[in-house]
Amino acid sequence: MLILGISAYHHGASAALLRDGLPVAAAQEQHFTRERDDSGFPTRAIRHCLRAVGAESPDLDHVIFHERPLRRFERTLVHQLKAFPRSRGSFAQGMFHWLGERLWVRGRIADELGLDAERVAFCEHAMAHAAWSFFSAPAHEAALLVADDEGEWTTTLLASGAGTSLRALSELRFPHSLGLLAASVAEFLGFEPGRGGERALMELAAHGQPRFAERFAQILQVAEDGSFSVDTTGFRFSHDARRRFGPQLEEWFGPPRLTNGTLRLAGADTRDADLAASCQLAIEGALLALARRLRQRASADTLCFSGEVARNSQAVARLLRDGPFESVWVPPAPGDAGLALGAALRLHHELDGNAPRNTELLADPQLGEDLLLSDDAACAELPDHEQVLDALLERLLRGELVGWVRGGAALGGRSLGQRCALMDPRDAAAARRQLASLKAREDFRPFHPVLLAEAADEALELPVGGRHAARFGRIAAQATPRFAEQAPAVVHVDGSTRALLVDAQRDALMHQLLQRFADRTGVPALLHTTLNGRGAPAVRTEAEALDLMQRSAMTALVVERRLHTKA
Amino acid sequence: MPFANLLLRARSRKIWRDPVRTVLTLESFSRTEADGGKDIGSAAGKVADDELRGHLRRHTADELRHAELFRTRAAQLRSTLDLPTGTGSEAEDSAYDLSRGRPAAEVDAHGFFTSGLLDELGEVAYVAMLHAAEKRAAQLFTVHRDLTRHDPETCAVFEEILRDEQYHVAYTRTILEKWSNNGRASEVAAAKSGARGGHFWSAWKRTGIRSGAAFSRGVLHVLYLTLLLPFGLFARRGAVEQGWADIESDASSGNSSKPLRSQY
Repeated sequence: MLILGISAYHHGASAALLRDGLPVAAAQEQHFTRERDDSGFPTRAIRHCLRAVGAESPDLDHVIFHERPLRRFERTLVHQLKAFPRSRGSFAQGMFHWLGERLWVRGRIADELGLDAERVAFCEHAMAHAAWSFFSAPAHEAALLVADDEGEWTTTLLASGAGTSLRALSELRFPHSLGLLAASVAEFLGFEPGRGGERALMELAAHGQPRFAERFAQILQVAEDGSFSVDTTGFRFSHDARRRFGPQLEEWFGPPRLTNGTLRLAGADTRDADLAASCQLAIEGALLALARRLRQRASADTLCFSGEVARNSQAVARLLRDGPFESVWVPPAPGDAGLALGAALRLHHELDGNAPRNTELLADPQLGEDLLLSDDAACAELPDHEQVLDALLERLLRGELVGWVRGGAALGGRSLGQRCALMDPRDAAAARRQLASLKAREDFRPFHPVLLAEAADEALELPVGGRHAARFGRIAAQATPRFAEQAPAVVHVDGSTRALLVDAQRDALMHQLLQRFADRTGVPALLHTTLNGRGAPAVRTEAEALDLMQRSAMTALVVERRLHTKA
Repeated sequence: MPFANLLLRARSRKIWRDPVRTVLTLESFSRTEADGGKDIGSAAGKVADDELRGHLRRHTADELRHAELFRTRAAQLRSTLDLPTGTGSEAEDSAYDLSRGRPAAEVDAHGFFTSGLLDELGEVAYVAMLHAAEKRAAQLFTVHRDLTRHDPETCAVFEEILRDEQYHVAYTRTILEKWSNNGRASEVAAAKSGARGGHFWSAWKRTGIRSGAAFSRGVLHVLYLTLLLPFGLFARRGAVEQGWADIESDASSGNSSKPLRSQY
């Protein structure tokens, strides 16, 4: 049975294909259009998924969309009306989009695929998140927490999963949303929400003190029953996606920061960092209350956490450290990029309650398009993987910035070791200097390591319950003093790091490279960052990777077994 | 004056009159020029024609210098700028329009191509596209220069860059003519036509989409203030729901066991 899952009109439009319950292809539209977090209809991603398995659209048994469009439209309209007449500008903008395309998505899908519209199904946005986190989890029973920005009405969902069944327990509804709160504060501080802004906000928090915690306790009120509410007087996100914060926020905290404006994070004025720290603290507090409530209603020891807020690796760490669960699982691509897979999995298990699960295969996110090689690239063809590792190691030991690109694209747009730039993490200043030529990112933002899984205990203060999430770099942990001294380039200002644990089973080549680097230097880690151009997802082609090498301080690039060096 | 330039002039006038948007626009131009410089430099390493390589290298240096000129001027203006202490009113929102990470979207900048395009298209098509882009850039920067006459230092930056743009237009034309005279006339003509056609077709599509969208939004705006007014006034009276909604006992929840065929 072939099921196609589709998510669209939200950041991270994607498509995924299941064959008899197992994911065989998944891709984000951004990978093909090269526009980060492309939110259009994922025509190219769908085409890729079908081509990857040699199928054509008539072969599809079912197609499922990641949300119920009429419920979403209802919510949008109600909140536009509630904000009357302040919503006059955003109404025309929003309705133009809805009436022009989104309301007719069933017909659009049927037309694109040449299928009968009756074969198109719809899954609740939050349940698609829950399904992806549970059916990819290394546990057969789990409590499920979805903390998202927005969907239909649900912003936060508590659910439970056992075997192949999911049960929704309770929900919080729009506009009470942790994701939208973070997005609004990120926007207020000049970051772009939905395109890494929330992550920048989390990283900025480490530089500040939560001196606005009291104010945030009023903005985000947590009730005794674990629910929360957002005081929306400071925000406009309920009716306006173009500008999420309102005048009240400016009265409380002063003027917003403009993009590229000076960031107030050090010296006498640390407003921006303190604001970020206060927001982070408030969000973590609300998540802990949710987790405690969930623990009362679901008896499992494992928490599966997904939704846009689950991309906050510091919050994941806090949930594990101070929360009531023994282990926390966050799937690869916990945000909207995983929705197509989640929707398809939900439908599969709805149709066949006895279908078996295969979590090992489900948790492999390299389901995207293979790297596109250039026919005429001038390079040295290395005879085997040994030579590849030697070429990389030799340059890394010399302190050079190198690129390494191979295999299929990972879901989520970030490198999980396959489309990356690597560096020796021992010299922080040199690493930052060289990476500045590759990554146009603010100085306050940290870089992270790939780390030998066997060395996790000596490098990180990471409870065993966070190991699975760390295999996909989804959880932050404090670096041990020894590791912080050994690898300062990958330790954040607060002593934390978000390592991608590498074991021989999932990525044998990277594991060998790390082992050899550790043998030579005593450091079991390398600085690892996604190889991408500004505003673009991880590289798609050899030519694109070469381009980045030419434009940066990168001295060598290994593409599969082809070695390119800069003249 | 081409219609497209009139539109650009109308859109840009407000921006160059606003000090905050001026700074952000100059910064976005700086980034675009720097990117363009790197791309052209990268392409210079790949071309077979020695004369073209020499021009591309000079072109690279020009673009990087332009980036520096824009950056310096932006920094000068930023240091004297009182950032808005906006009250958040609708009228003041436009001051933040460029703070949403799409700084180049509002004012057309000098576009750039990745050097991968050279591999994809070949030298002739690449130079033809570069020629068309440089001609367009010269027109754009002429508009921006005219609109910044109230700010002589910013205007001088555009003046200086315009001189280089004329050289870029000239050398790309010379190279295309040289290839044309060397027996590649049909290839050059096709490439020039492709570059020009692409530009006009994009401009036509853009104009159509913009005018259609503006009309539709106008209609929706009128509907909002007439048809929806009573509903809006009614909806304002309703309280926003708070606290847990128990899904098993609330059939209105979308997360209850509703059939997956339903769109609602």
